[in-house]
Amino acid sequence: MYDPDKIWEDLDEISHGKIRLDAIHSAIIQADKEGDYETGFILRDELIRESVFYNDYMDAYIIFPEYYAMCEKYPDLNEEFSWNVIWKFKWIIDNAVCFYQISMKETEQYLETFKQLSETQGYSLRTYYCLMFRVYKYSNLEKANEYYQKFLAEPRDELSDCKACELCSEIHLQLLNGREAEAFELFKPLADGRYSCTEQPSFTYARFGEFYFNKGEYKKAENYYKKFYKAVTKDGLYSDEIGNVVSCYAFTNPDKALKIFLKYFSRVLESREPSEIANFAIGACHLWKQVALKMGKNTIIMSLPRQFELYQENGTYDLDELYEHFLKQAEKVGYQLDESNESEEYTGKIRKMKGMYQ
Amino acid sequence: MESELFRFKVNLGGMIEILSDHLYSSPDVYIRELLQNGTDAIVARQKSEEGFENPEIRVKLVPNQSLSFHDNGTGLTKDEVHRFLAIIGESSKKDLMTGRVMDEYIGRFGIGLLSCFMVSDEIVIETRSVRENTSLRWTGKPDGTYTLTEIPEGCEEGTTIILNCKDGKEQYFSSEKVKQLITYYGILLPFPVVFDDGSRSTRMNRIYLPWDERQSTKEELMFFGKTMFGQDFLDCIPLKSESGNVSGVAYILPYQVNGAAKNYHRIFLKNMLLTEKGDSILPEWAVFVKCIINATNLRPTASREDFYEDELLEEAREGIGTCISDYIANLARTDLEMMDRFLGIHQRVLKSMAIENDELYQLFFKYFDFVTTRGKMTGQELLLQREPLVYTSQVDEFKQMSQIFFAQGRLLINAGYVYDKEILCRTPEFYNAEVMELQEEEVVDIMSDVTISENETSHFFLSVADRVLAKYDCRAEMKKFSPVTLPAFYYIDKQALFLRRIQSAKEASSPLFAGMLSAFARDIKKETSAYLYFNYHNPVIKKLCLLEAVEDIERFVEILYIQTILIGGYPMHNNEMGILNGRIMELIERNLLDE
Repeated sequence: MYDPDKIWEDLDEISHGKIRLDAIHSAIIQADKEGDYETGFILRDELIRESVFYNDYMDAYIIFPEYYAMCEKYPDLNEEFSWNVIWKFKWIIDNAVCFYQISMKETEQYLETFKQLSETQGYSLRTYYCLMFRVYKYSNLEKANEYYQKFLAEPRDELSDCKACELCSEIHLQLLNGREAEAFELFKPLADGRYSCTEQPSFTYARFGEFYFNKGEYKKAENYYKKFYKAVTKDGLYSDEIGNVVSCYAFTNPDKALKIFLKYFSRVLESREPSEIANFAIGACHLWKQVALKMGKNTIIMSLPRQFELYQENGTYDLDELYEHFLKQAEKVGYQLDESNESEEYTGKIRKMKGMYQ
Repeated sequence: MESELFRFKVNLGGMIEILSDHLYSSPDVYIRELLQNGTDAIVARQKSEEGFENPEIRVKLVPNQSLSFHDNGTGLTKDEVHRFLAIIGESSKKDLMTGRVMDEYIGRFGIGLLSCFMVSDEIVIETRSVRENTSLRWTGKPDGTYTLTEIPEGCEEGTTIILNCKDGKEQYFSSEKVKQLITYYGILLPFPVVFDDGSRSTRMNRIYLPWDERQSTKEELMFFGKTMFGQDFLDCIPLKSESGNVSGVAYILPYQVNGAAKNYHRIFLKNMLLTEKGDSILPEWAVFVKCIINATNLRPTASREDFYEDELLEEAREGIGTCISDYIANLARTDLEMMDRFLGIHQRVLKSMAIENDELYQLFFKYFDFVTTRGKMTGQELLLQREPLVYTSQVDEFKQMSQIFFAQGRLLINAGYVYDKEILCRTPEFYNAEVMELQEEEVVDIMSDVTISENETSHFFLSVADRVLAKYDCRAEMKKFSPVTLPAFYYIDKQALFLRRIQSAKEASSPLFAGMLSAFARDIKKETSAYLYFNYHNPVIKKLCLLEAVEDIERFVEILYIQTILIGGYPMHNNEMGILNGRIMELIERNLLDE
């Protein structure tokens, strides 16, 4: 018998991740079958959240269009839940650059729609400008800086990210501009705990880690990635930046890099998020090369999932072959992302990496 | 210019604000600080004076007005008053030679007393040291000034701290509050803490650690747990770790807990309550216990509300983990009834732990339950099967497939429940077992092919069916399988299911997102598909194969297809229910017409 209360009770029992995601999908089918559009809507809302925080975002992208359409179709939902929809729309736009399937042109259309919704619903344009500078930060830094100034001029409201997340975005932009001192100044209230949330300051540590890694200051990068990684694993948050952690540890602690690689490889094999796949592939490339250089090895013995293309029953892998395999993957996915995002983010990383090992 | 020596000045008011806003979790801690100072003074006297008898802390309250804490500990000399009460950070518990704080003392940082300024505008300390006969009164104010006078009439040996209630802090000077806090923090102190609120004098701490310097029985430990937590437990596990000199008991909860649940424990440092949170000292997987732990050699944080994270704490944590896992291993060997009860309640959280913890995995796997086509089986029973352990990772898929597998006596495991899949997938790491997810080839293997003549008989039906189903991205095949009562079986692989979801989304969405959804759909491999397998053993299908009218075949195929989607709990496209209703209506109308 259909019982929406029981559905929620059952979902509460399940820990976050793929299984919960599947359970929510099944629950949506049940609710839709019963014509219970309100429960179906709220379940879709829950699915988006689950997918964004605890999985690879893909299910959020698939379900969001119908979720958005439901609000247009059912006026009572629109009245009660318009804030939820625009908030989820924010997440969709924010992570669009992680999917090569979403072109920059489409992202710009979403941004325009978001702007209209913000104005119609009486929100300030701060969040819109924040999304703008986040979307353009890798492809057009000048434009990103312009929008950042506009962002600062707009007041915070209920649509704004929490202060901690806003600071993280600002810090990232400063670091991309090479303004380390300004970034640290902004970091102070995160560092001393004045502002924090589920994701912060963990994700800000990753920004600093990335900054120092790109400068070649691997030890410094490690200090930040260590904190990031500890927080992410402790809280069970999903992050598509695990590959960057592998990259960093490849230089400072290959044993640890390998451990992290093995822990997440199964997940990445099943991941549908291109930026996670690309970052992880780059990290893996660094790992095999650094293991070869630092330990003087040609092969490595490890237990990998059967579905891996190069799977070996005896567990012995040639490091050069592994490097070539992951390089090919990084190039394939990375170039697709860059083409779609009109940027050189991955092309640059891969070029630099290849340059190191030639 | 000659260099001059200056001193940094500290804004004491600002410092107090920092303590109250950032260091301490609440003004409640002032009672703890007073108890700690009193305890440390008594310990100091016990160390220096052989034969010191009747240690005691007396707390006298004038409700909403004042509170005095008297200990008959070592007291302070004039010199010590200037040194320890006037310099923040100077702790009387430091060894004069080494500067290290001695292990017997609870307090380390010399700032505890400042917590009293959170509730009082003045701290008065009357003290007479056992080493000097001078009675002194020290009065400190939050602006950093203090006075020191002799008490001509003398005072009791030891130290009395007197606080007057600050405006707005009356709640911290109520009888109920003070008693509650003394009990909360000091219930296990090894000497009397007596409370007097003017109406009566009561000893607040009559409980002793049952394992202190003696062997205790299980009944005693269970009773102790019930007294401390106010609830019954399933069983208890004695805990001991040399690292940090940790001892205690873990009580097994008699109800299910969530893996993310935070239980409230009682963690003591030298018999003074440190925290109710077990995060730092307990292994993260120990969510099914509540503990009472007393540590003597672990370091506290500056706020003394938790342990300092260092190697010793890590070792202590491992030691506690070993005690718990040893208990469970022993239970499995010696008390199967209790083991059953334990697993019946905590199996799910144990599974979540075992995914990450090799030791626990090997300890528990054999006892875990799994739902299979052969009924409920334990891990041990699965290991004894002489066939690969095939599982489905979705409950709905299991429901569908189990009919066929059961009918053929084949093993299929339902790994759609939380953690079961991860647990099964780890099996080959420890045991000689082949574990695999149900694949399409597997599905096809359990069905047998039709014969040449059966193929000829069903050919026309199948070609019409294949055409009809093409618009649903589904292909038709004729097979033979058990049970015969099942007319058709729908199988969709993960990619095809995902494609189906995208298509459903496209139908329900605005054009704004059409491009994105189409791009996601394009990425899915062309060869993925869904199949509707018709069962030639089934009498309905056999009859359908004899039909000649194309419209009739189309009608029945669509009905069967949508019926199997519905039963399987797969996402429906917008129009599919409508089609089903339409087709059934056609049959009804046709039947009426025929009549």
